Amino acid sequence: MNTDRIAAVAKKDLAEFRKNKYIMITIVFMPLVISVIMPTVYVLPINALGSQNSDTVTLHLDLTSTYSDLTISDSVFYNASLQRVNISNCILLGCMISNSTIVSSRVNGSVIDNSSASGTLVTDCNLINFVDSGENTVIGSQYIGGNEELEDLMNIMFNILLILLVMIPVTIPTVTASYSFVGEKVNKSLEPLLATPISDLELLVGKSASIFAVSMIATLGSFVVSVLMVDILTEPVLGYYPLPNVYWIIGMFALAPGMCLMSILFNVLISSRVNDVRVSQQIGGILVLPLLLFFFFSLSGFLSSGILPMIAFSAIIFAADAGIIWLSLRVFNREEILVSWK
Amino acid sequence: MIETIDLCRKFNGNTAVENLNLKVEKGEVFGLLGPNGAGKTTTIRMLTCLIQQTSGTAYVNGFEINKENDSPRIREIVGVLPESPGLYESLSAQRNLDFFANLYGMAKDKRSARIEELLKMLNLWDRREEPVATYSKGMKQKIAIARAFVHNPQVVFLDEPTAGLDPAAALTVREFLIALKKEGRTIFINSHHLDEVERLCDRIAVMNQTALAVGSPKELTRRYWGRTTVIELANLEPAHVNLVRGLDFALNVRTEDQKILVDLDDPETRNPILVQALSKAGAKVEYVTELRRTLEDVYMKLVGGERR
Repeated sequence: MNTDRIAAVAKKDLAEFRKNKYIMITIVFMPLVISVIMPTVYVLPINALGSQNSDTVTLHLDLTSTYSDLTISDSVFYNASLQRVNISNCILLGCMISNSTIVSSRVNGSVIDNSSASGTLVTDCNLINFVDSGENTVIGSQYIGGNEELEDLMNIMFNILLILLVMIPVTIPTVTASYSFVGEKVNKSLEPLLATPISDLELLVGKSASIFAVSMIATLGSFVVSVLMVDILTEPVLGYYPLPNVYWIIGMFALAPGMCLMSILFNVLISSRVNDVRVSQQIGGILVLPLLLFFFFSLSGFLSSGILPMIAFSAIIFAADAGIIWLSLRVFNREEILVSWK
Repeated sequence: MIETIDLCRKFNGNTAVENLNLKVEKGEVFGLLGPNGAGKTTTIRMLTCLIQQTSGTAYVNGFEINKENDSPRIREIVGVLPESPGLYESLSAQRNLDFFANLYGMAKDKRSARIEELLKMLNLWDRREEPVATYSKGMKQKIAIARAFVHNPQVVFLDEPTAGLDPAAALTVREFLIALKKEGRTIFINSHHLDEVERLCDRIAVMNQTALAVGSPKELTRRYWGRTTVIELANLEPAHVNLVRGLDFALNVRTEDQKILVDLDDPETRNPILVQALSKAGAKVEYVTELRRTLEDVYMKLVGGERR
């Protein structure tokens, strides 16, 4: 393959994209909405939930004693630091409790970090990754991680945001590829192009490369902005930066390119059968369906929304890409384009 | 330079080109004439390795068409103007030409020099940075022709170079082609414009799926129409016509109004004898002239039947 020719085609297409206001609106406007407006809209419920419990908690701990790796019971602790301690029937005031187990106690004005409790009255505490083992009464405390309700909501919101982000590399090629392939056919500029020494594969790669570059730059740009937006909006409530997590990273660096490639090649196949850019765009939109189904099943619990299903789905998309590449190469050759393309 | 040998192409059982045998010499401007659907565009597409032939073969500058190693070589040495200009309308003329020159592997400085040369020839240098969409149809066609020549190809295929252009635009394109003809390239033109082909081409082929006739415009005119002398008489009578018919060198004699039309092999020698005989028989000869046949007459005779 001649890389100069591939680069020439890609550059020419990029120059055409820049001059096409519909393409530019899609490339700029869609990522902007998804990466700025959507995180704001979807993250507000998390803020609201977090703020319900956060009004009363202002802690000033003065840790004067430290206890670790102990089992203690029937005691009172004031301003103490307890690490890896099994606590039962105790009263803890203004303490820092981490990696411990609390049973049948009363805890007030403390920080409970990465610990579990049962049968305990918890008042005015900061709870970080708190595991509620049952029969606790929690009053006036702020959950920071470990809150199942909050985490479930976060996961749903982040999943929805990820769906929207992965829709960018699916949707932008339906517009750009439609103009690149169908537009070139309608404009009758394919024939002079095919009469040059460029090979069918070089032409397909050059055209796909420009669309892929535009789509993935928009997607990754949106990813960075989304992550910043989510982190800026949620950190004051959660106390940590939730994104990017592994799920999002796989989504962005495996699923998004896979879907982008599929969208481009799917449009090549569509281009061989339609003569209208808008029709091509509408048919190309079908590709959003498998993506939506995957996330729908994940959110509804039909599929677990973990990392492995995401990796598996990405692998399926890449396998499907391989099939579509094979079909595209059969369709995208001089004879087919000039004789069979409608 | 170009040779086709029994070249055939069928589309779903329909024959577009059948047993086409042509030979075009280096530096020759060759015209391919024929009605719509005669297979002209298909012939160009086969010769430029855009589509495969069903059978037969062809050579362009010694390279065999649609042969794996030869096809890229053919594409390197030919320039093509398809039926539609097919320019990138949002890009400038300069950008359009530069893109194609780049695909042909021309170095940047050579590309720039060649584009400047062509755009100046076309009087479009001042508008080189304007989008092609703002150009008139004739200007677009000139850019498309320039694109076919941008890489200095040895052979250029032009499919209907003046189709759809107004007379002024067509004239500009023709003048441009005449200028390019002087560069000594082999140019292969498909056209419906018989007058244009007659003026531009050294030789032509009339085809309708296959080649019906090949030769220079003059040769074809003589071959298919001979030469006709027209004698207008003030007192045309049947006796005068019979007298002419009786002359052994008169090949075909007919009348039209007050005129006798006689096909002759050698009018320079025969016309004086003819006029003398008529005068002797009492005919009052008003004038003698030669009926000029055009390529259009040949074309109509071969493809569309006789008109007169």
